Amino acid sequence: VAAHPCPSVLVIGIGNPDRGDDAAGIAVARRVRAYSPAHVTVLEQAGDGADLLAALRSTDAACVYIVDAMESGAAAGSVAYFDVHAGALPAQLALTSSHLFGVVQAVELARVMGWLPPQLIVCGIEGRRYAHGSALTADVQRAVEAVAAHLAGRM
Amino acid sequence: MKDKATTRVIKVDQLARVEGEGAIYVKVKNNVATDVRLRIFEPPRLFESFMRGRDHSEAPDITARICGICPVAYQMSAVHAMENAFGVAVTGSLRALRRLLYCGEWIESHVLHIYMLHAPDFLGYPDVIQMAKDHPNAVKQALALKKVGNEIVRILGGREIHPINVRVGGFYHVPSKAEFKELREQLKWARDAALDTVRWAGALPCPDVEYDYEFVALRHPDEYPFNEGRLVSSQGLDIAISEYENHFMEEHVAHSSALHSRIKARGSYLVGPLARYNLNYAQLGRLAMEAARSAGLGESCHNPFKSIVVRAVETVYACDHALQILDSYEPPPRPAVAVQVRAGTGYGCTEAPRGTLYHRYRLDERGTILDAKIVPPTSQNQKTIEGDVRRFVSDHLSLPDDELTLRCEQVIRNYDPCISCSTHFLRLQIVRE
Repeated sequence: VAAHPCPSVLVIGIGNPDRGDDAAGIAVARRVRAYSPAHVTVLEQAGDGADLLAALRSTDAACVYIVDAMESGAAAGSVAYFDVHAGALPAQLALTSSHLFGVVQAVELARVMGWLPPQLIVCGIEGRRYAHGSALTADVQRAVEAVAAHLAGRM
Repeated sequence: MKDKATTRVIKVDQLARVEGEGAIYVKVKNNVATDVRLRIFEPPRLFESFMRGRDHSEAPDITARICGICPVAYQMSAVHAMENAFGVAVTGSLRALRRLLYCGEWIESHVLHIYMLHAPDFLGYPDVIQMAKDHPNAVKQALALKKVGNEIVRILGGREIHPINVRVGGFYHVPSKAEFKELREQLKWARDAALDTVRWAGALPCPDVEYDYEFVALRHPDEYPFNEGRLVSSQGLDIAISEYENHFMEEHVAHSSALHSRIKARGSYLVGPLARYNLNYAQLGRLAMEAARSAGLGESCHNPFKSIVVRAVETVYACDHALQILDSYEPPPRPAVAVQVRAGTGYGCTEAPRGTLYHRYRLDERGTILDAKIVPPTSQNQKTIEGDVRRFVSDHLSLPDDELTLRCEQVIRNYDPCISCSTHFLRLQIVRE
């Protein structure tokens, strides 16, 4: 992950705010929005791949961060950063959504279409509990704070 | 995988490019598909149960959460059911706006399915990512068209996903003419793009099969069905929607956590674009009819693979109808008509993109929901989907397993199934979206 500040940044938080740790991406987006300077744009999305694709296609931002819950088998609250230009996203990330045209498919489709922004980082936060109406678990809550701070350092 | 030389088992453990989580199991013995199971292992949603005790006014927004792809359909069936219970009629501009909202959802849903989910099957690609390498313009067209549908839902529904502006009696806010100005121009482009989509879909290589279905859809004397009408079928059924449960029933099957629907007197039936087309061709309007003819469709169509073309024809209808609504739009004097709450039972039935969606609510004198019944389209199509897979496999046994498996998935995707929507039966299993 590049450490230098970006001239323009888009942060896309993905998830369902009412389904426990699935809200991780949305929670990060809201924290970033609270302190973000003028060159930072923040979007919240539900995980519809077509919407994500449209956002990637239309953004002028030099750096785009996508933040979503993931289920990779790691400990809850683990955080992984994937530099999309460095290679394909891990296939197992596609399982985090039952919408079969989801985040991974959208990113890979953007790659084929030539719509990737100059820098695209996908940040996955390992979740544990996804029950309807539940809150973030403590591990994921801590990860949300850490990711928000990490992104702040790049703005 | 084989217990005898004559036995083949085809399993797809995770169906791709459908909404929700499901699997298909086919067992072929002695050149006959002996066992076909569409397994749906989405967790129970329990919406019908937790609607109990809720206020009638909450039904549209709660049931919209059943599906991120067709929330408008759930809102529409819910408000019509409540208005039916209270004896309220929503007419004029408010009614037209509801049809406009439905146009937006049909455009969003149909375009996503045609280009991103279904077309790769016809063109021989494993997914749209691979298809995009050779057909980038199709992906561009899909995104631009879908965006117009999104825009309708955003302006009228308040946001693109899970709109929040629908209420019993009408809307919370109605847009001004000025708010629709830009949308009109977008829709003119979308109508042409939809016509192009019909030509494109009509030219896709398509299996040559014809199956005999009982089609079921709403029918309205003056319009292609969205919100209102009688329930009719190609076997002569013609009933008020309040009679639905006299003629249709749901039953549990062991291999699926979603209920199967059937017509009590006969069995499986088909809802969705193909059914609407066959039962309502005369109401499509000149432009959509011409588009259908130009793509080789007659007034009836019994080839389930042609559903991709019918979806494109319905997209033309939705774009054209949306423009007609906007051309004559005058904002209603009030965003909603007054509702006088009373005890009773209300029925709502509307046409979601993937088929007929039935709601029934029983309410007390304060408008509190005592019980609810929701029958989504995919629930109604499950038996027919299994029947299609059974027939297709039996007729194409010479195909190698890989090819046959792919074709089975294509057969299922003919229905654009929304498995999340169809799962509402209690069976404890925890799977997250």
